[in-house]
Amino acid sequence: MSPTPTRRRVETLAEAFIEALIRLCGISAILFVFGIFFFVFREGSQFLFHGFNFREFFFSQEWYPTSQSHVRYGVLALIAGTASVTVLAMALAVPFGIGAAIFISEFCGARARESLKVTIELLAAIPSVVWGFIGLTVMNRLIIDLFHTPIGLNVLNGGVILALMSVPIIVSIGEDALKAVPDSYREAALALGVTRWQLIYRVLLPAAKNGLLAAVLLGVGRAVGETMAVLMATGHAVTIPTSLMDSVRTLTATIAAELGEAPVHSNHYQVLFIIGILLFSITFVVNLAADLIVRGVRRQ
Amino acid sequence: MSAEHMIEIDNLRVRYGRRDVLKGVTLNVRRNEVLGVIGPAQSGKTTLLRVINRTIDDVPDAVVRGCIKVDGQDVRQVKDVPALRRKIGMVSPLPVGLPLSIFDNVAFAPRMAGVRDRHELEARVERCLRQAALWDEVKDRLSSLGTRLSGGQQQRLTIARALSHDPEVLCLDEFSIAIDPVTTMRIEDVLKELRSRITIVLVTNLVQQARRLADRTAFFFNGDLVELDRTEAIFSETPADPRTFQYVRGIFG
Amino acid sequence: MSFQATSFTRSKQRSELAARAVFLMMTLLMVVPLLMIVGYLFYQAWPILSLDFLLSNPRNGMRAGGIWSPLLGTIYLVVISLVIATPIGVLAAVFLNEYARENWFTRVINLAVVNLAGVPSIVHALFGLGAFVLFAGLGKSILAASLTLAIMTLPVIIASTKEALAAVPMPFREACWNVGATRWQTIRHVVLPNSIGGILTGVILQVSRAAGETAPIMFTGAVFYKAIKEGDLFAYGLRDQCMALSMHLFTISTQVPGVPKALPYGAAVVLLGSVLAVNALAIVVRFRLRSRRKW
Repeated sequence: MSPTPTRRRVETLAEAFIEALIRLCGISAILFVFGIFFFVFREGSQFLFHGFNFREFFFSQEWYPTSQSHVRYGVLALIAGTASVTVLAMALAVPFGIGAAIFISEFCGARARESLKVTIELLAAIPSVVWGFIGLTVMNRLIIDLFHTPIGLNVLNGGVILALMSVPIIVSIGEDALKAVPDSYREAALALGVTRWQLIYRVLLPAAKNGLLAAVLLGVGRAVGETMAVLMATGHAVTIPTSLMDSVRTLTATIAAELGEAPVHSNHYQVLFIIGILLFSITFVVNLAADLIVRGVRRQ
Repeated sequence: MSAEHMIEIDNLRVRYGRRDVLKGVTLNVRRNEVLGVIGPAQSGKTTLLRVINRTIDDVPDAVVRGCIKVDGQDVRQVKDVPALRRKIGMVSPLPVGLPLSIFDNVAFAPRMAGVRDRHELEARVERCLRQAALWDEVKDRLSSLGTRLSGGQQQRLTIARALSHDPEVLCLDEFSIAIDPVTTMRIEDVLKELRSRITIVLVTNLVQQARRLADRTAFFFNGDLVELDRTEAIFSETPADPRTFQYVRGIFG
Repeated sequence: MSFQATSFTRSKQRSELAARAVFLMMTLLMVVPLLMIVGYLFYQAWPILSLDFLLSNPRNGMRAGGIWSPLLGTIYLVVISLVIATPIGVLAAVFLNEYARENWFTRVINLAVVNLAGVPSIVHALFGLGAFVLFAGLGKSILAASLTLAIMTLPVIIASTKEALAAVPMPFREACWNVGATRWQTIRHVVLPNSIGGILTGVILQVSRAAGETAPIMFTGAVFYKAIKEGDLFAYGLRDQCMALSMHLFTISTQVPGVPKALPYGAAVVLLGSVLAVNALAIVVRFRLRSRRKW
């Protein structure tokens, strides 16, 4: 029996190279996240440190970046715009999303579950510009006909569209959270003779609450970060909304609408990047919170 | 000294996190002997094997202290771990057929080691499948998937794989747990065939299997090596330790 | 004693049915309007859908003609971003599943992947503008836009690949290590070949996302209008700007007055239809793989 030969030096070297490459790709996500923050910060940093007025930025609703006489960069109205559509979207998406998650997890047969999950997945795949288009055409028409407003591009339009966009992520993560509740909880409760309502309300929802909270947070993150759909569906008014029928502008839409016009490296341009930093920070915090909550679940 | 002993273990201590799994084990395995290792569950028998072929490296919180030598080489200082593992054949409790053809299953180790010649590979595959008493059953379907074989066949396939890299030591970890008695007997015949040519460490939960096959037997209990002696002595009326007497007769464990 | 339904059990059964009905209603209330909307889009687009629509360029200030140049542009962007993102994503997933230990550093990486997935698309656009267009000097180009898209869709590939790798049972790896195969050899010869399905699913999903995105490409390489030769598959170069279907839909529905009604619906339907078809393909692939497992 001859002993097995040893592998050629070349092979061992090639393997060391591949493993180094793998390690590099492994940390690539961290590099990219830092990179995104770095480059967005860089483009806005000059103005940020020389002449940027924090108070005006956060507390003034006067957004006049292109004014000839008195330039103002107050984003309060934009924050209100983002907040209003997000709140409305969550008010619609959370109950329906969790309701659907409950239906899929607790009431469905295996066949129906597969079809519903496929449908939700397809719902999630619809591009945001198509959603914006739906808001611009179908929802616009509907709102004008139903509520007799002159234009149908407003908080209601954007909120409903955002709700439909956020539902899939709430359903999918919510369903995971419910599935994670051990069957023994259900069996014990049903053996005690509780109704379905009570089982859901008193046993399942409390047990899954961390996962459901994480689902909602991720839905919020999605809604806050959405750009094209709200750009096309909420109108162009930079004001704090007082009713659902008011048009608004979100933070994201503002960047998208004005970046093309702002001269490169001008103050206006840099402020748009600063808004980008703000958005990045918000979604970063939301994602971090959701991750911490989910980790708390796993430790239980 | 080292010419006589294939494996030398000196004061081996292994801890998983806070749990002591092996508490100072010293033993030698002679060349070409069959060493039986018996003892109840959680005695550290599997850990012992893992230390020998360095698969303990992959257990996240394992701490290993002590000296383990295979053929005079300190196992923990070895740089080329794959070469060490090729010296040692390992058969785990659950039969594993890799999701490759039967031929590729047995040719896998030689290929990874650098064997390219088709004839050499074919010769090796046939030789190892014959040694593992599997050749006749699969010789006409070497290209079919290894995962489609029965449990008993997959365990023999594992043995063929273990033999394919010409090991000097063959370690078997409770190999008969998931297979039928007939296949167990066939594999025991295989081991009898091999015993004069390679060193065999046979960890088993079937004490009678140790009695049938082992030259010497080691009894482990709770991380300690309780007794190591000739098999007849272990199974006699008067082993050195009363726990050995009780375990061997099924009074506990 | 008999097991006749008492009034208590009957009320329980009613409550059970009621619960089921309510949650079913909630689910349908999302799904049904959506199906109706999609149907309406197809209905409005119907008059204009034809092969000519796909193969001819927009004309008359984009008020007539077809969608050839945006369609080709989207194909370029998708293919190039795929070529960039797939190796990085697959290797990153290999690292996370096969090499990384369970420690704080791995947690940070996973957190970064989730965060990367959650970055608003407009922030990706800002990043692409700052990093690729300006800093790297690529200018507004297909290359810069594709790089931006690649980074944006990386998490999709990482997630799918990780899932596929994790589905390969551990005993296979241990059996390979036992016979002296190195980690990489095991991955290359046993783990990766048996994860191809999941990787493919991830790639298909990446394609669908890249095709649908607008904001990231708006400022990094996609352009309002560009004339190219109809039917020419090699009309664009890497340093060129291009039109894209997603951006085209945005343009003709908001930036151009006097567009005939069916035109934007046509663009929307082609975009939506392609994206849904690609996703359906991913679902089918996933399904077939489940049955063709090798173990």
